[in-house]
Amino acid sequence: MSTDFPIERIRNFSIIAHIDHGKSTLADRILEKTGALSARESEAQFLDKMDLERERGITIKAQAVRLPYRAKDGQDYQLNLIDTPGHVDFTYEVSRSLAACEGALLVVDAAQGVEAQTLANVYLAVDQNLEIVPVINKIDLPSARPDEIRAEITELVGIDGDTAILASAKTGVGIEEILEAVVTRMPPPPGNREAPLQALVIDSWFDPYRGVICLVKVVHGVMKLKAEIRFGRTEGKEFELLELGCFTPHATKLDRLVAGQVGFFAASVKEVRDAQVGDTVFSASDHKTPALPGFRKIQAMVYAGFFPIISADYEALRDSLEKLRLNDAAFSFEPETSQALGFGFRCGFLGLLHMQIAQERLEREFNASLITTSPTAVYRVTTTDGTVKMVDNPTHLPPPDKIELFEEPVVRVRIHTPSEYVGAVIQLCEDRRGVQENMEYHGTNRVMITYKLPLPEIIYDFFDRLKTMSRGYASMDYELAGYADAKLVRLDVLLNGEGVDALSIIVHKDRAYERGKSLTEKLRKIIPRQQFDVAIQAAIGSRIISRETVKAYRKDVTAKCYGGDISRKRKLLDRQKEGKKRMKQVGRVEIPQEAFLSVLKVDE
Amino acid sequence: MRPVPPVSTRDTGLYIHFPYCEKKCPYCDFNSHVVPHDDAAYADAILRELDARAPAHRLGVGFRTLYFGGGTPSLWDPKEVARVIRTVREGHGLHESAEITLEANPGTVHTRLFEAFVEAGVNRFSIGAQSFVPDELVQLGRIHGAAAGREAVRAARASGARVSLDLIYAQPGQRWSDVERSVETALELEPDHVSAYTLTVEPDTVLGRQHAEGRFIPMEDDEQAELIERVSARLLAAGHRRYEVSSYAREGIEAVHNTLYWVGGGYLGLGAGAHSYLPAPGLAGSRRRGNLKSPALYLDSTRAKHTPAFEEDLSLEIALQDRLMMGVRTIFGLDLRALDEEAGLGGELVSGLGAEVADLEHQGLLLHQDGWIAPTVRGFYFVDLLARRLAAPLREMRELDRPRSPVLE
Repeated sequence: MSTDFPIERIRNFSIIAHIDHGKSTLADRILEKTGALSARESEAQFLDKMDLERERGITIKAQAVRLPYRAKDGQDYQLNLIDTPGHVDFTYEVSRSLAACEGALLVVDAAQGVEAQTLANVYLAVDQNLEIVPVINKIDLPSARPDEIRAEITELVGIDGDTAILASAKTGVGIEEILEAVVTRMPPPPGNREAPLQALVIDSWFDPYRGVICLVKVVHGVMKLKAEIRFGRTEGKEFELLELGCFTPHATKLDRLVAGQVGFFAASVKEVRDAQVGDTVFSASDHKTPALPGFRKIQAMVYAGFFPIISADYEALRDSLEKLRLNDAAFSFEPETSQALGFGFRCGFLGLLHMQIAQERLEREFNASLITTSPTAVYRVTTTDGTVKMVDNPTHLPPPDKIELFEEPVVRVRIHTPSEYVGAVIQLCEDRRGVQENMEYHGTNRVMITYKLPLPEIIYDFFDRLKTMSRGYASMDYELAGYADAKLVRLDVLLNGEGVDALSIIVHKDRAYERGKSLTEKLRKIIPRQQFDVAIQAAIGSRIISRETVKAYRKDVTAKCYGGDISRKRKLLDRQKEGKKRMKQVGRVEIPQEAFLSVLKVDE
Repeated sequence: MRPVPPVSTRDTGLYIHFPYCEKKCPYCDFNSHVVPHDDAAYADAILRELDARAPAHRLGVGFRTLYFGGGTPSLWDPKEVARVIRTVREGHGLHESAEITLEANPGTVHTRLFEAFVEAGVNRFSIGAQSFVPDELVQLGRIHGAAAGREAVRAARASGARVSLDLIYAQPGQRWSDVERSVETALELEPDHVSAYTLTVEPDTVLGRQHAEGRFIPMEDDEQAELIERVSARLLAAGHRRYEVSSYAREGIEAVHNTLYWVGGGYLGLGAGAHSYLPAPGLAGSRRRGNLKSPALYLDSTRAKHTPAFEEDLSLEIALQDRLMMGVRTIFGLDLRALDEEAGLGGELVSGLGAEVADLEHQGLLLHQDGWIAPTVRGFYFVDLLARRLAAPLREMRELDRPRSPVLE
């Protein structure tokens, strides 16, 4: 249609940058330059929407801003800046954001140079054939060394560093040049507006008033208000487009979105799982057009128990979890009962960061007070009668003599690292029972190592270890690669002879003794002294493998209390009582919240 | 067998605070001031407050006890003390066998003075000896030596009055042999009553500030517990009974006034910083009150409206919590059935506390007999725990929320 914005003058791009290298500031500067946002408005880092993200300094949910730009050639362009999340748990979401782009700005700190985290995303962008425009940011710093950084870009990233734009998001230097490069160096999106509708879901989130909001890129065809649509992965459901729009960065309503454009829609979709990231949107009546490539079903990798500290809060917690699920397709839960902790929920997550974010959101947004048990992978158990059972909770494991085959999930991990850390990376992977599959050199300094690793070995601290030993340069992503037989056992914890089911973990037999010992030591430090001795034992079946004792405290008494002291002494007791509330009583023993997660930190 | 307390919940006591000291001790958080004072003027102020506030109390047979605390009341002119006691007795009723105690500090007393106090009506002295080890007395910031402590106890005894003796132990670095010296000396002096406290760091004291700055490190709890066991064993062997956490006496001569606090009796507190507890029938609406702490401001207040520093009207829950907290400190314990009836709870208190009581009994911390509870010997080491555990179920009791007539009126 003649009124639609010509596709040749649309540019969709994202910014790839290491945390701290100035992505958000640069985005703000671009918004200002195009007039989308006044300097006053730019409220430092507009793109990071949720409080939580701002505090953690990471972007969890993608968002896209439409920017009008009059280029030096005198033409008006429509730029869509698409933001990407930045953690290994969310690699898939990053890849979908990038799939909606034709180009990317690679932002490199002028003093610190290319960082590993950046490289992983650059490779994702290269895989999608994006045009990459390197930007050397913070050139105003006294320690800036742009020439060396240009060489680094050439060598490490494999794109010509001499084409890099020198910029300072702080002072505004180079911003115009960046916008010109977006227009001249990046291609317009391909796309046929006459073809049947195909739109890629880049992101979706729940809005309490309008239901699920989908952020989409229209790849082909047109999306019109009031038209009926369907999602490729959601059978039998059709939705009417009730609202269309784009972010400028404020939400702005539109009548239509056409091929090449990025925008959002609302269609009375009730749950984000009906509008999953990576899915394709079609016209409701169209069942012939194929889905866009690259959809990956979201799969929980780790499970943990969430229990209310006060059992009366169970229903409130269920409500909160339901609300959370509306907004997070990767999150799942079902009721769970623990002998030690009572009624709670078994929850599934993409990874540990995802779990921590969920926990924090529950505590912050829903005011829930939680005990979280240690996260575990999903094991595959074949019993002696031939039944196959998936076990996401150590408590549900059949007795050892009934287990024929005990398999753990295996993941394929790709690690990008500068060559100087290859030795350390291999050491780390071998320590975690890894099997090397491949090792490739890219250029003179970059290595990609592929390992098969048991998932349980990487859930806890693998990523942190990798970062530490490579001084932050190595990066990784992983995907599930089936199941493998392993010598696994359940390690139980007993307090004064009574098993505490919520503290059980599944471990490799060769590690059991070591884990048991460090676990009991850890618990001895965490469990406060009670008025009786507390014996902490780690056991495999009926065999005790380690034991620690928390000695009883011998007094809990105020020496002096007369008529003048009563109000003050009473308040003192009340304060002590408050302190006790954060404890969970298991049998006779009071256990603080953190004990249940201590199982994780055993390697410290 | 249930020990019988020397005083009941229905009795009332009178406390008179004398806020002046020659020197402030670093551990002391009682209301004491090192300033010049006028003995007669202070007595006048006390008597004005007595006139204004005592009639509001239902005294029945009169005050069951009278206690001069401080500060250092032994600095008070015995003539003024005599005038105060006489006025109380004549104008407001003092039980004929009332216990009349006066706190006395070594270094401020001599035989004649004790005799004069006895003539004034005092029949019991509480001597702040604290220790009989010279170095420890220096550490505690006391103005007297060990010999003065011994002399004070002997002189008090010679006056014919009952004598109680205070000891403070569990100073950092102290060994049992050090404590033993003080305990043995104390026993040689044959006091009727011993209050033996472990040194407690209170906020707003010199010691408290040193503690906050890391310059004072208290003795570890385990070591303290060890010393408490030894002190207790030694005093028991000498014929004393441990009737409260830190109080030991021969049976039948316990401190009546202190016991009144623990069993939940009412008391009127007069003088600078003195506290009062005025129980209401049914407990809800019972009132606690604290007088102005500054002697100068207090003196002014007695010429005007007797403005207090604070007043607290207790909800039924808080009133019950206080009774439980204080009740579990002594071997006299408390009768939950009687308390339930007093509060008009129709049995909910007894049933609501049932599980906790049973569990604490099972743990060997509490004696329990037909609704009567008291700490065991082991329980004396966990009195705060008992108080917390017993108070916890109060929050769940629905009866406590029901409006009661005294509140509605």
